[in-house]
Amino acid sequence: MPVDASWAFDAADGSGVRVAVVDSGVDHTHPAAVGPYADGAALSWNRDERAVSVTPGEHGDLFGHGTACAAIIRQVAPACEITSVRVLGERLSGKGEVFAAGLRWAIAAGVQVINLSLSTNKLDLFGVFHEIADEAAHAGVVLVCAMNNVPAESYPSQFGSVISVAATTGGDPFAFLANPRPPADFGAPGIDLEVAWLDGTTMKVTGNSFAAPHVTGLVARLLSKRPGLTPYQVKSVLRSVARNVAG
Amino acid sequence: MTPEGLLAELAELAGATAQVLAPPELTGLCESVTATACEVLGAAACSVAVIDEDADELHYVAASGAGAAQIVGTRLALGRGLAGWVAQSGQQIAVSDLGTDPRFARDVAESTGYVPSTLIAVPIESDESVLGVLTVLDRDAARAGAERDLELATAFAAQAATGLLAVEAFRSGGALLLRELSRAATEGTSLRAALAEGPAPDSQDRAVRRYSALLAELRQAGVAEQRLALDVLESLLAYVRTAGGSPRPR
Repeated sequence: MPVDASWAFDAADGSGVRVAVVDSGVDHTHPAAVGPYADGAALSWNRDERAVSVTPGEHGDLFGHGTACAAIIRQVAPACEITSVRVLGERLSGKGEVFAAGLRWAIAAGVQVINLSLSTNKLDLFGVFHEIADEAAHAGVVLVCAMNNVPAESYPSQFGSVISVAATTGGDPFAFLANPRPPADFGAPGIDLEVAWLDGTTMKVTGNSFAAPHVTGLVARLLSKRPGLTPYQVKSVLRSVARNVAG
Repeated sequence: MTPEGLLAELAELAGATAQVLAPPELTGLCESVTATACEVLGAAACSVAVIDEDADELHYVAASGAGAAQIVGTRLALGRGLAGWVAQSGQQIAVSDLGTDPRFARDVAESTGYVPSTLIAVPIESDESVLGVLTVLDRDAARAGAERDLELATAFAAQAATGLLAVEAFRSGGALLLRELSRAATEGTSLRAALAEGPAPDSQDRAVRRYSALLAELRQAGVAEQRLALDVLESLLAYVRTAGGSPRPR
């Protein structure tokens, strides 16, 4: 049987797949984001103790962006279970450490896919994120990261073991493109999209950070139909079925 | 020399140094960026906010166009609003339709004194971190080339970053200079005498010019190379300090 879009995605809905949205939190009551979810955690930097604080449980969305990502994932994989890991909050200090701890929390929680619409260019964190990307790959966790169209240092999105996504035009998530010249692996819709935001509202937006969750949804859908694929197999399948490769 | 005499000498030296190395003026630098951005993108307003990490706030330091007078000086919490999200995530965003979000409109109006229909917000970044956020309100999306406005805004943000880094470099340089002067003062060195006994001005000028050229070249190198250079310099200075030799060339 050929590995094509039908083999990968047809009649699948993401059920049984656990997805972490590492972002600003998720409003699970937003009409576009409603669906199965599991309690996540809110992480923040404790200045006094100079350490990351982890608060498990419900936490809401501070900005709206995490909800937008969750809703995009649900467009493709409506039945996947979404866990919110909030790493964006009130302050910037300790941001990298919070961000790293959030990823490690998600990996330890046993999710199969992590959506990461953020990245860092802080050289000090190169090693930390490289290690986390390896931990995810070895644990069989697919890390999907937003990536800038403009070349710039960006961790972990520039690492080979993650799936990196830049924005393209169009609105059909199944019509994503494979980039013949990585580091950005794929192009997915990210321009003039109607997305979910705070308090049950929507906005029309453009940004790479909205492209990544389209691919995250596709990965959840693929894994619900073909469980047990490793992150490298997932990337190979996506490349095979991309519109500009499969035709 | 008395402490008062040393302080007077330090003040005199600091004044002379400040004249030579005139400090870049942050607001002026950023205003030239916001005014040009408004013109090029046909926008109603443009602003630059810098991150105050200690206060967890965005501080608006320059703006052009609608609401500019109200917004400059405003401080907003980093934990809310689109500009806060851009500062936190380091990602860029363009909003082409506000939709039904009253909270969004309130956030933007609060930070600008003007309620827009569309918005672009991009991070102002150094090689290693987010320094602030550049926001463009109600650009002319109907003009030719408007589909590349996010890239244009990013280019303006890069200009603002150069300005912010120049100011930061001057501040750090000034702090370093004062620290070294204080050290010399507390160690009882007569700075005036030390300078008077230094090498002839011509050769000193040549040395300074050579340092400048090397620093300029180093500025073009990568972050890792710059760090290595700093490590080497610091090690060398540590050795010179502990070796008991003269801090001045013989």
